[in-house]
Amino acid sequence: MLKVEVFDSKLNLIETKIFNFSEIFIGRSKKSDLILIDPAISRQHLHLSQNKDGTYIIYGKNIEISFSAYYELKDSGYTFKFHNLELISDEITQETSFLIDQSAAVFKTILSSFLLLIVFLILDIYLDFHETQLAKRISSLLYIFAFGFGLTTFFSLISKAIVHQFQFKKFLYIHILLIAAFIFIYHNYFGLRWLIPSFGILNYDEAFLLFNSLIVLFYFIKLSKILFPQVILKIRVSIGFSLFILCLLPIALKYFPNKNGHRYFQFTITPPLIKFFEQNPITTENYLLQQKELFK
Amino acid sequence: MGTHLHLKLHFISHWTLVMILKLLLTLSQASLVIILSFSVEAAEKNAQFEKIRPALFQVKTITPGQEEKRSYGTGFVVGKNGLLATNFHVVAEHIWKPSKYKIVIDIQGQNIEAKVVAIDIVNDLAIIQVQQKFKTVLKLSPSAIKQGQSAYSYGLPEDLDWTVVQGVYNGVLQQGPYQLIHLSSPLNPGMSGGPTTNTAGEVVGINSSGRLRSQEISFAVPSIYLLDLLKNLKDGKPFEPIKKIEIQSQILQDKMTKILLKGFQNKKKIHEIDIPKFEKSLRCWGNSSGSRNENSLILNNTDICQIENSLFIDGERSFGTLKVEFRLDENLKLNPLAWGHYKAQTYAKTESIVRYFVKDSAINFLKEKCLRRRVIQTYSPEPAILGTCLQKITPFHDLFDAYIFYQIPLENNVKSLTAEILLSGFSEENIQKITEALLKYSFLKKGSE
Repeated sequence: MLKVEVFDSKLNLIETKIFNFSEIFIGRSKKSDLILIDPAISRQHLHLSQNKDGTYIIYGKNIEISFSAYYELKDSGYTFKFHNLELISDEITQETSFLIDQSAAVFKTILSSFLLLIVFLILDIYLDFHETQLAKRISSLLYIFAFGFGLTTFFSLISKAIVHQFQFKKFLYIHILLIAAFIFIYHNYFGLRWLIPSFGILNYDEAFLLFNSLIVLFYFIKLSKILFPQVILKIRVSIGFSLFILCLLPIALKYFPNKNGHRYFQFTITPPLIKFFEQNPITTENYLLQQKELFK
Repeated sequence: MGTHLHLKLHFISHWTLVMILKLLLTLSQASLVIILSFSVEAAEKNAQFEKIRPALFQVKTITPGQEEKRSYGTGFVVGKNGLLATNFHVVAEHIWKPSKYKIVIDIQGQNIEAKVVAIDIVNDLAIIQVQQKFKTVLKLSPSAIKQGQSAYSYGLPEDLDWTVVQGVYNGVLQQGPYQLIHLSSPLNPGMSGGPTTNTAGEVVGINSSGRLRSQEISFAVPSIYLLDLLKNLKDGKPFEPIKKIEIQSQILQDKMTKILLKGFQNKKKIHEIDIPKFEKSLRCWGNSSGSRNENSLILNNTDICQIENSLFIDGERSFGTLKVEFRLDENLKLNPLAWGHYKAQTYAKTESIVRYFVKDSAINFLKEKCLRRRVIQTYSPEPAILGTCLQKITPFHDLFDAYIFYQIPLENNVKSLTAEILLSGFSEENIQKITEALLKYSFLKKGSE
């Protein structure tokens, strides 16, 4: 007889079950003896088999461990506690093991959408060089790539949700909504792009870049919690923020013109709107003189 | 009583019968006259077509080494020494890339090479010459025919076979600086450059264009412009197409600038705000959205004036595009931040690449060639926002595409007037003049703020 206790990442007991048979399957599959509906858990996550001497062996993707009375396993954000009720001794040996996380495989769609966001960021930069033929070609390729990715991710997530009878955590739905919102706003469907707040400080492209970066930050913090549970929160957050800053680099670069006096990014040549409003208004005659210079 | 009734009935029926017979006789006479007149007209038309047909040829653009056409139109003989008239847009590819595209005419299945000897881009005309003598030359009539009379257009629609299309002559239209004959007839692609004749078989116009989305609205160039072109050809000046296009563009844009500047001296109103009033050769449209009763956030009124026929230069660009848009927005419920954001949508355009679509082609303005400033205006306590984007048109020396926008807050920033002007193929001098006129124009009477 084996008692299995499952705790979530905050160590709240979410499942407890006693089995009186020798082969036990834990996973996302409905055929499992203990079902855990979470995309981080694979379909057949753990398999426990009882030996003739009464001990158990745990089989996982990267694990094969035998235990006699008690075993504690931390995996994919969960803590599994196995109590062999047949071999209870006074001396409980507490063995704890961290597993190499497998959720990267389960989360491949989410990771791909993460890649999609990066592609969009590169695309943003290239769009600003749209006057050159090469940039046009690169950006059109990126467009196809990003669009393909976006669409596949969106539909794979929806199909996953259908297969698992919509029993996913909120995170996934937020994920779907964010990607959909991202694509819709990006392509300015229904003229939604103006919804991105610029507040007169950033121009539209800059505000959009900021929006992108916030999504990257959100995904990084969310994903790293699952991917690197053993890494402490402070490190995860600091890496996330560095990434966020990196994404905002194009905005920062505009303040550093190159040797020819041109800014690195075309869309940032004009100063932000706030600077525009700080300028003193000129007379109509002066404007005509400045316009004359533009013809040269 | 019965006999009397019978007699009366008999009398009536006899009289009716006579009347019916008379009516039938008159009708048959009338129909005979109609049938005869139709058959006479048909015979006349047939004779006219037979007379004109030897002077009609297909004008083709081919690439070297190819015999099959890349594009085609129609041409007709205007001089015995091998001169044919067609549209400029039929030969435009050859003008820009003479080594890549050749002009040939189809004479009895043989491609005979032709050279362009004169062009008129404003009126979409070209004269080509082949080393061949022609017996039939079409007579050009400088005088217009009366509105409502029949006109016959000839050509090869969709490369099918020689076709004559009967239409109704509806006078000469002034489209901005151009003049065009308005025909109610279905002109199809391939008939460009063909002649439109009167009932006497004299050429009154040269088939030019049709409205794709309209029913039987077609245009022809008045033959008087072709006569002018032929007259200048006899002067024997050397033909330099690019120079000629430059000169003509200059004349055209001067005319259009005059139309615009004249409009800035006149006034019409959108909701108590003065805006310029242009003459009828610019087609204007008005629209409004939002309502105080429907809980709208913003009231929006637009007035757009434009020239609908721009000048064909090549498949990718056209000159003479002129579009003037005035938009009056009134803030009903937006908070100051959102109102500022709404207005910024227009002037933020100069921060990104401004892209304007004119028909099927796009004009892209680069950000380096955009200027944006706040400008003091005497009639408004708050400064206006003014922007200009320019793009030089190669290979011409002094021709630019320009986008000018102007936004001024009115009535304590409750209203905002935005003007956007798009010009294509204008000189520096004219763009400066138009900007100056816009800046000097007072959208509010002085002291009314």
